[in-house]
Amino acid sequence: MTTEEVEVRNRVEKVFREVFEDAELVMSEKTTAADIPTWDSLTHISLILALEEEFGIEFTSLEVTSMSCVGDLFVLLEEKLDGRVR
Amino acid sequence: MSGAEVIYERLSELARTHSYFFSDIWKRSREEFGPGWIEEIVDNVVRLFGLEEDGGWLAAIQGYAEFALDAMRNQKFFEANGRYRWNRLSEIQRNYYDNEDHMMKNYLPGMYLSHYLWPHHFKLLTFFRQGVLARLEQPPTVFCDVGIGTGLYSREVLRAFPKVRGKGFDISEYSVAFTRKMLSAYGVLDRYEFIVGDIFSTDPSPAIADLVVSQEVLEHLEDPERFCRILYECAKVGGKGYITAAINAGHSDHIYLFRSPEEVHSLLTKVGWRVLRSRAELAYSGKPMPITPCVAAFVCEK
Repeated sequence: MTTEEVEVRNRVEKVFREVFEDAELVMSEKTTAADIPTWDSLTHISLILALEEEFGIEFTSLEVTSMSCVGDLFVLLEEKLDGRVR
Repeated sequence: MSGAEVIYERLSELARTHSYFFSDIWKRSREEFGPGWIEEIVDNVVRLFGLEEDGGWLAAIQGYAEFALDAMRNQKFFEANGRYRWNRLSEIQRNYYDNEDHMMKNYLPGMYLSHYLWPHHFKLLTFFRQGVLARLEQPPTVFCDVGIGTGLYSREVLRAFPKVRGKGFDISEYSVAFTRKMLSAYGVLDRYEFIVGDIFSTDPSPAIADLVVSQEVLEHLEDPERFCRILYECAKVGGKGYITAAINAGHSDHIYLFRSPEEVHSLLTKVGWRVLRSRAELAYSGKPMPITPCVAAFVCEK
């Protein structure tokens, strides 16, 4: 993993901790909503909006609705941030 | 397991696979409303969206997810800013109502399913059947539905009263196309007439209706008071109105912000309606009322 990828993942984890109000939250690519009891449709949209603000990007509707785990999120973020100064 | 339950399980599975974060509602609503509700939503999906192998079920599920996402995104905007994102109907019409792809793939299928999947929508649909149509003293001869949307409420009137004839008004030709398909699927299209266009520049057929229906239209308008006057003009003396509005509810095409059911009540009485009874349903609990979406329904008389 590159240092840039590590940085992105740290920033994503920070957003997760803020949205889910859990300072101890630890994530991996395999983390799904089943691992975080409060991760429902309402917190999902809060998460998406917080990530959009954090990274200055916008997810399409299809991207938001089809996401199912943190790994999906990392793939999308890396695609969107690819080639940009992070 | 009944045939409807088998189909329902398959629909839920498709939702989990293709729109995971918008699939929990399928389970929650099933638990809340039970077997009769399952029969009904499955009947709707099969009649309107065809066979699974043709892609109709998945398209409807994805349409619902996008519709729900739009509501949530815009609700967050409303919570942060205290206002709706847009305020001009012309912008909404250009961006949404005249956009075939958006209307036919996302907005209309999504809104249609929301009448079953969103508990507050389904409770109001039940109220319309049991608390409005079942309580009319006389079967209506003519009704007007102004702002037909998906046509669901027109269908309810047509199915409840086998001799009634309806007139449906909408600004979007795609709402008309969707409604036409749905009423045809339910075998009631022959008693229905469409008028496409802006109600403010269309002859609203004064004083012809025993029943006027306008379901969640007021919040889409720049001048809901003028619209309520037109609804009032449509009704015969003694005719009934069923008029609802979304309150504190962000959506990409909501432009007029009602902050309480009382605001809508005042508007209706101001233009002449006598409110007989009302019902308000919240979208969810746990947040302060000023940022909790609500739909308020009013049964009125001219």
